[in-house]
Amino acid sequence: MSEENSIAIEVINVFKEFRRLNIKSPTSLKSRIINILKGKEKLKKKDKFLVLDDISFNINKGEAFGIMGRNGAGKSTLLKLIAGIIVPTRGTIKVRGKLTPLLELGSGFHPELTGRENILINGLILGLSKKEITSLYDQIIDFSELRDVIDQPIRTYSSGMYVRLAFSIAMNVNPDIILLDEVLAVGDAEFSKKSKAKIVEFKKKGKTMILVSHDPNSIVEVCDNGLFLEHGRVAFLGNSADVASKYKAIV
Amino acid sequence: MKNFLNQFEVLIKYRYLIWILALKELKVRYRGSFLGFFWSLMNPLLLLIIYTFLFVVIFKNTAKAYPVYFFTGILPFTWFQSSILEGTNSIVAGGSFITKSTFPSEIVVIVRVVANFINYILGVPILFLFVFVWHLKIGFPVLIFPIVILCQFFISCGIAMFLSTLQVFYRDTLQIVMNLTQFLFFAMPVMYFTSQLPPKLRHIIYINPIAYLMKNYQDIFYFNYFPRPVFFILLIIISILTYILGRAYFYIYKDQFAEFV
Repeated sequence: MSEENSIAIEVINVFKEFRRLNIKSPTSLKSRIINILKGKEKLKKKDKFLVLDDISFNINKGEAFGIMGRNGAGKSTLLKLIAGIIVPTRGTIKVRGKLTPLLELGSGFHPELTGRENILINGLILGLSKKEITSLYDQIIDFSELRDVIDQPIRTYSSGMYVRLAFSIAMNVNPDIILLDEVLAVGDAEFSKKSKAKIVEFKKKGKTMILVSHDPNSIVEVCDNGLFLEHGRVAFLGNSADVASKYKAIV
Repeated sequence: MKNFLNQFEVLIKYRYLIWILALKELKVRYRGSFLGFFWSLMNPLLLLIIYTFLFVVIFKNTAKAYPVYFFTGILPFTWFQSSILEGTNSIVAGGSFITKSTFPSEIVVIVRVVANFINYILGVPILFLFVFVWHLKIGFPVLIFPIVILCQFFISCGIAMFLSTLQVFYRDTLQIVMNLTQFLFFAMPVMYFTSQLPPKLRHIIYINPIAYLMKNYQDIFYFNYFPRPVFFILLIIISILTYILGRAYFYIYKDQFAEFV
C-alpha cells in the first residue's frame, strides 16, 4: 500500500491512435455524405496510425522525469495523455495529486489583456481561487521580473517576457505535479538558470515533475530518471544520464 | 438528485472564471473602438429605427408604442442569436483552451452565452426608459423577469453545447445555424404581433420554446401580463431539459475535441 502511494504517475500499456487527417477526412457534411454514398466510409479505419505503442512506466513522488525523443516521436502526445487533455486508445494512466499542465507556455494567454489580468485568468484556469491568486500576485510578478510592464497588454511583450510570465505562474501555483514542455530552452541564460534553480527547489519539496526536452544537458542537470521515445515506443528507460547518452548516440 | 446537480457543477465551481472570461470577451470585442460598450446599445437601436420605419411608416401599422414592443423582443433575441452563433464556433475557435488545457471545455461555450447576456442586460435600462417614455405600465409581472432570463440562459447553453459539438465534426454547422436563426427571427412574433398572424398559426407558433420565451418578455414589458402558470412551468422544464441534453451530447464527444480542433 505504501509503495502504491509513493507513485505519482503510473502509465500502463498505453496506446494512442490518431486519425490521419487528409483531404478526404470528412470535416464537412458534404464530403461525409458523398463518402457514405460512395461507400468509402469504411476506409476510415485504414487512416489510423499509432502514435504511442505500448508505453509503460512509473514516476515516483518527488522525482523529476525527463522525456526525450525526436520531433514526432510522440512526446507531446504522451504529455497530453498524462495531463488528461486527450484519452488513450488503450491502456490506463493513473495520476495522484494536483497536476499543472504547462504544455505550451502561455496557453490561454490573451494578447489584448494586461499581464496582471492574464495572471488572474491563467490562475483560475489552473484551478486556483481568486483569493489564492491575489495572494500570489507579488510572488509571481517578482519571479517574472516584469513589474514595470505588468499592467501593459501582453501583446507588447517580447516572446521572452511572455514565457517568463507563463513560467512564473506555473511554478508559483503550487501544484503537486508539473508538466513542462520544452521550457528550459527559452528565456535568456539568467532566467534559464533561475528556472532550473526553481525546479531544484521544487524537487526538494517532494514535487513531481515531467520535463520534455531536446537538450540532453538540461535533462541530466534536472532529472533523476528519464525515457527515450523512438517512433512511439520506449527505446530506453532508465536514469537520466543514460537516457541523455543514448539520445546523443542515436540522434 | 446528486447526479442531477452534478450537471450544474461547472457553472457553480467555475462561475468566477466564466464571469472574468465573459468580461474579457466584451473588452476585446470593443477594444480600440471609440464608443466601446455603447455599440452594444447602438446595434439594437439602429435595428429599431429600421423596423419602426418599415412597420409604422411603410406598413402604416397603428399599434401603440411599437418601438417598445420591438425592443422588448429584439434585445433577448439578439442575446439568443449571438450566443448560439458564437457558441457554435467556440470549441473550434477555442485554440489552446481546448488543445492545451485541462479545464472543462464547456466553459468556453458558456462564456459566449454569458458575454452576450451582459450585452443584453446593458440594453435593459434603455428598455425601461422606452417603457417610461411611451407611458406603459410595468407591474408585478416584472418579478418573473429573472426566471425568464435563467430559462433563456439554460436553453442557450444547451443548444450552444450541442451545436458546438457538431461544429467540431461538421464544419457546415455554423452556416446552417446562421440561416436557421435568421429564419427563426421571422418565424416568431418579434417584429410583428401575434394578432397579425392567421388565427390557425397563432398558437402553433408558440410550440417553439424560443418564441414562447420572447412572448414572456413581451408580456412583462409590453402587455403587463403574467404568463399562464402551466406554460410557464413547461418553459422552465424545457429549458432545464435542453441544457441537460445539450450537455449530455457534448460530454459524449468532449474527450475527442483536442484531437479534432
